[in-house]
Amino acid sequence: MKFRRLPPLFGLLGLMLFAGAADSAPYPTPRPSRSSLPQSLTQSLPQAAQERLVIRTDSGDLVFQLFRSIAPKHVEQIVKLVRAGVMDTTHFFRLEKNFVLQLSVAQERISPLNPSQIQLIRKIPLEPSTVPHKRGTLSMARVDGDINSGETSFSILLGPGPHLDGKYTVFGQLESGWDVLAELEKIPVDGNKPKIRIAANRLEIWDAAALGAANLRRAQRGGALTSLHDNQNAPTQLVVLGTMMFLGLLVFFLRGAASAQILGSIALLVVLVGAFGLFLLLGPVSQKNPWIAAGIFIGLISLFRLMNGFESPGK
Amino acid sequence: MDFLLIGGFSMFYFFAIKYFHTGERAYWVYTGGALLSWVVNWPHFSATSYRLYGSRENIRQYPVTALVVPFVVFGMVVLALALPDQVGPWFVKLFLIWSPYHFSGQTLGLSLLYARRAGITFPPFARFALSAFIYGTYLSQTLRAEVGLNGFPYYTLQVPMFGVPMWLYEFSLNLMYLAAAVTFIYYAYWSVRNRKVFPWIVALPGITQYVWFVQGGSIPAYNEFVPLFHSLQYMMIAWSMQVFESSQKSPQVSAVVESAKWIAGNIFGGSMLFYFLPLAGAWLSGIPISTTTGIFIAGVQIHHFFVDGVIWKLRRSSILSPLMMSWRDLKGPKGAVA
Repeated sequence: MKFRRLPPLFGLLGLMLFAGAADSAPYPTPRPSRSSLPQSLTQSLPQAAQERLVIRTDSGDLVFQLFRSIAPKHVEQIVKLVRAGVMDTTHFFRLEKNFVLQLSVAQERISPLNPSQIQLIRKIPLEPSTVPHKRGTLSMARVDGDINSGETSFSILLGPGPHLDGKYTVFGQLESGWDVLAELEKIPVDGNKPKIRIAANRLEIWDAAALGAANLRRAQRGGALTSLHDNQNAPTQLVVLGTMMFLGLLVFFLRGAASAQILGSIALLVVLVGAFGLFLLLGPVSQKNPWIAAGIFIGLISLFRLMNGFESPGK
Repeated sequence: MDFLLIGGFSMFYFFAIKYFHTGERAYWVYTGGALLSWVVNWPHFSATSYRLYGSRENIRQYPVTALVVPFVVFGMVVLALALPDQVGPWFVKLFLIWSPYHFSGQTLGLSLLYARRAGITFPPFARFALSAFIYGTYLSQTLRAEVGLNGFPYYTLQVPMFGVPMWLYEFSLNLMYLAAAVTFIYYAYWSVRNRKVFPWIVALPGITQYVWFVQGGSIPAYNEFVPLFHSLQYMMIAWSMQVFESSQKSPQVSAVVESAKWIAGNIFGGSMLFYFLPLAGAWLSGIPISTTTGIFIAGVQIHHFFVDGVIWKLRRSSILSPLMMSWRDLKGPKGAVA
């Protein structure tokens, strides 16, 4: 067959190009998707944003819709604070049955805030709306007498609060975790103070579609939607994996003394597995500290660079 | 043809998107992209595997890559499937950061390949500058994507971001431009010294990657197709080598028949890797296929990074010789395709 009979193949390649295809972009852009809530839940509520606020408590997870359409500044601020980890390890300090469960200010959390987290905290002006305060509503707390003093503390309504309507900003609504909320409400109180600490271990922002899929997985597998961040054995694993990585590196750099190609490659695999373990453990921590993030990033690039020597014939 | 497949098509498309389109990831972008993954991107992975696993001699040369790596990567996939909310997003994250690094390796390799074809030997500083420029496009744009803390969904997995400092991105971007300046000054110096224009094809892969990552990186309708362009580069080389090798073994075999078999085989192989494997994973694990797809994509691609790293090292003259030919050579009297 002569080469000149190949142009149809070039044509095919050209067609492929202009129609284009990609299984995964190197710098993927978020793919929009819409949540599909039962109509009964969405009635009388403003349109929910794509993000979901997840509060992880010892009793389970509370998942909230966020209302960007009626409280854009509040949602923006809460999303920013949560993503920066400002709200982690806070607690619900006020519990009034049938009325309100209130989260503490970020300054009262267990881990001290770092300077960049403190910089994120600012006052947000009231964003009044006609959306009523009812059970499950997220309402921004503020200082009495100053309607524009909302910062980090907010409440989950446990019953109707018509006297709050228009005076406090409503910025979200409980979507799932009603049973968790009911459990929390049963905690005994001293006045309006819970007798045990109601910890908000971790607050997270999720994409609605991703959260839906994660919940489906949880339902199918019966597992808990926990994060590695909560792993109590992390230090032990850190040492084990770090040792693994160190030994792998040692074998790799000494491979000239042995059968270089195979020994070196297996050593690199040990390094890769160890590095992946470290990555799993440190990844969530990196989101709290940009220096750790930069360190992990540089470490990954070094790992990829190291892998360039994989199965090289050696000396 | 080299110009078009190495970077020309992607640049034409970039200018079309930049000046005649909003740049949004419109319906036609993602549906077209998804549909044609079956015939371009996925076969590219299959073609790479075929090159390694296609002969016992190849497997003998690189036994760890061929026989051990699949098990290690499969172990990671199993771990990600077992803990899809804890391990899954970070496994995908590893692949997403590794992938453009892998692109950069191919870009540098192509630059050096064309330089060798043109009889140019880079002095160490120029090679270092070229390498820094190419990897700088990767580094700066990957850092840019990691500056925030907004995670993003990837096949229903919520992939986190690192939140690296902004200055790190700006620093890396400036380094990239510095390396680019040194590289192009060397090209100019070479032109003056040799009294002829520096072969533009040598510069093309680096410029192309700059367009892919830096200029086009923030345009969703362009970004979607960058893996396609990368796949096309590979497919061009792999296809020419396949036809060349086949003609060496059996001169009487038709190039068109050989090409058709190769394309069909790789479309089938790609479908196995990216469609049927996640399907089987979903069936076995009980996890939604949208999730297993994301995890298997990461696994297959990480395996691909290893395989792609060795297939060009194979000690066979039949690999080196077609690599040293242009398309014109291949169809001319020197080539065996004619």
